Amino acid sequence: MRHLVKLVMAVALLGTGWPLVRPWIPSGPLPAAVPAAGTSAVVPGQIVVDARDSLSDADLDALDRKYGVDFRLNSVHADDENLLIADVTPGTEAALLERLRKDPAVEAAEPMHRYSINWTPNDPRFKEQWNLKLIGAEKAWDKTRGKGVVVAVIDTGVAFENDDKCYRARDFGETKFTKGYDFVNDDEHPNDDHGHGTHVSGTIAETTNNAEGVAGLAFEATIMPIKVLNEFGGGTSADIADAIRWAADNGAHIINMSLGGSMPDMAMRMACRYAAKKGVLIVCAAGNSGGGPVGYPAAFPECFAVSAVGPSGKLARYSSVGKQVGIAAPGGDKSTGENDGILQNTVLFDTGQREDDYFSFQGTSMASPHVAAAAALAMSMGVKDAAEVKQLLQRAATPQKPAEHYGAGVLNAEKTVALAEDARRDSFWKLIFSLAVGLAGLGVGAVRGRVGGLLRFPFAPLGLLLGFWGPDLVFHWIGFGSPFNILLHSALIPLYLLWEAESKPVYRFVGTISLGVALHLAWDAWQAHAPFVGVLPMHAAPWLYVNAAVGVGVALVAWARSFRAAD
Amino acid sequence: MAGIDEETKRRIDQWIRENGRNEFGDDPGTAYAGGTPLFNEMTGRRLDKYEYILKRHPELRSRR
Repeated sequence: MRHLVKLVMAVALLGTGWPLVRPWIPSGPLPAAVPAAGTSAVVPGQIVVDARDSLSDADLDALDRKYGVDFRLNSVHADDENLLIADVTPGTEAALLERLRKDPAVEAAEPMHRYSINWTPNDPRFKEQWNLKLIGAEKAWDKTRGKGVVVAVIDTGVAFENDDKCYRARDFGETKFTKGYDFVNDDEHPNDDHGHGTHVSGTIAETTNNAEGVAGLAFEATIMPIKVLNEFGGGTSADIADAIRWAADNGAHIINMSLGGSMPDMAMRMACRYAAKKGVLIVCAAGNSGGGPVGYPAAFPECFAVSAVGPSGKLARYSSVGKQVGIAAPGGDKSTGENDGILQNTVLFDTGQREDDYFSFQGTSMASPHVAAAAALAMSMGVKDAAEVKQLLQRAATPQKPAEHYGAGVLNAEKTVALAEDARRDSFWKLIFSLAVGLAGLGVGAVRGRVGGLLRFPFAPLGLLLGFWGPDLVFHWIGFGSPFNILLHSALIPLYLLWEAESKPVYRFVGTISLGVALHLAWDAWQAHAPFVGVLPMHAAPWLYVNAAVGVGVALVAWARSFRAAD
Repeated sequence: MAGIDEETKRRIDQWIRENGRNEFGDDPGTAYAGGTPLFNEMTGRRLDKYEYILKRHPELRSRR
């Protein structure tokens, strides 16, 4: 029995230490939301032949003469297995391959395929979407496409219904929609009678890889269409405030608002605060004031303001700027050419006729949905906290100065998704760590009396778990961006507890809490992932390491005092 | 903006102040696609503020 307990303890303690040594151990990624997908295409005029290994050079020359083709080794390493390639007249490959497959000197004969690591959609005009290439969409798509995330588009509505009055835009056939609302006409049919909202929704989740038109960035995400702007593109702050609350109450994870005005509105502010408290990420267009200040709601602290860049990655002239800008994203800049706008499908009514086609727009309205869609990609990887997603987007952004123009920099969807994957892995290992601590505690409890001293059940596992998980538990409650996280991610609370402790069990308990806090801080520093990175005007690592060291010191002092104190 | 004299601009500014309008002459709670009615995201064209207001309120035009 004792050996079994020792074995359990050894496994548990090994598990406890594993997260700390794991960063040095190379490993593959966790299973991704979407298996890494590649594409292949037949290369015309080339074939691959695997000839029998026993064939000599003379035999290979004979093969050349027999088929009238110059077979050559694929590489200098291919001579052992006689892996050959050959250039042939395009169109003759199939007949030649058929003859080769019947030849006893040939083990296999195949057309040449060219493989590409990145998945590329087959939408014919995808090649015109410089904006998606600029932010690394193709590499992001190898990991996720936004499945399971609901993005509310509060705008002019979306051309998404098909009936006698309404019409679904041609490249939205397989786009997923959830129930929305029309606050202009007060009904449940938020269809677009302007064209703006459909274009914005297209950037987020236009049907992709359907051999039609263009792509959307998070094309497996679900759109919640909400209409607050009329056929002229205008609306009221009351409707917008209503819409924000409605979206938050009806399951939106992200709200995109490519709209605004120059004056702050308290009702809208309170609605934004309400949605943010419910964990909704609110992404807003900074505005098109041409160098003027950021508009509202974008300028509210609860919102994530997006400025616009053109194909060069430089700020577009029409974009609003200011200290509220959180990030920049492609919004197009047609001053350098019609193709430099953002191309999406929408339905326009300018001529009195319905015109369902692909249109190139420019504006911060077009930049904002890129960020909302990238956030959807991150959330679909399992990072659900809105403030954490915002921080990931900013950390992943390609730095660009000044901050008033670009915020943290230009959106990088590929890196955002990679960081989201890291964050998910971080959470996974924290869970393993806690389970291991729990098991270790059980083991210690089982041999209670024999171990004695510093670690005694139940204080050791409880204290370690409380110290290690406490900061995360509280920050999930108060929000990722709260300045209070600085206090939680410090040794100040363990120091205070040490100050108040008076008896032996309490000293021991404080010692293990402090050790847990120290491990947590060291872990966060190691992962460069602390919830106050955007709050503290400095790099987080020195703060975390210093406080981790102080935490270890507090633990040692607490244990030393426990030896001297009375029970 | 050619065609809109200073007197008309002053009259418009005064009308905005007296009627509690926003800077574009609309109700103060008005929001716009893209954040401003002066920039057309489809065409990239920018309108002058006074031109926009006079289109919607032609009665503010100068009477000579």
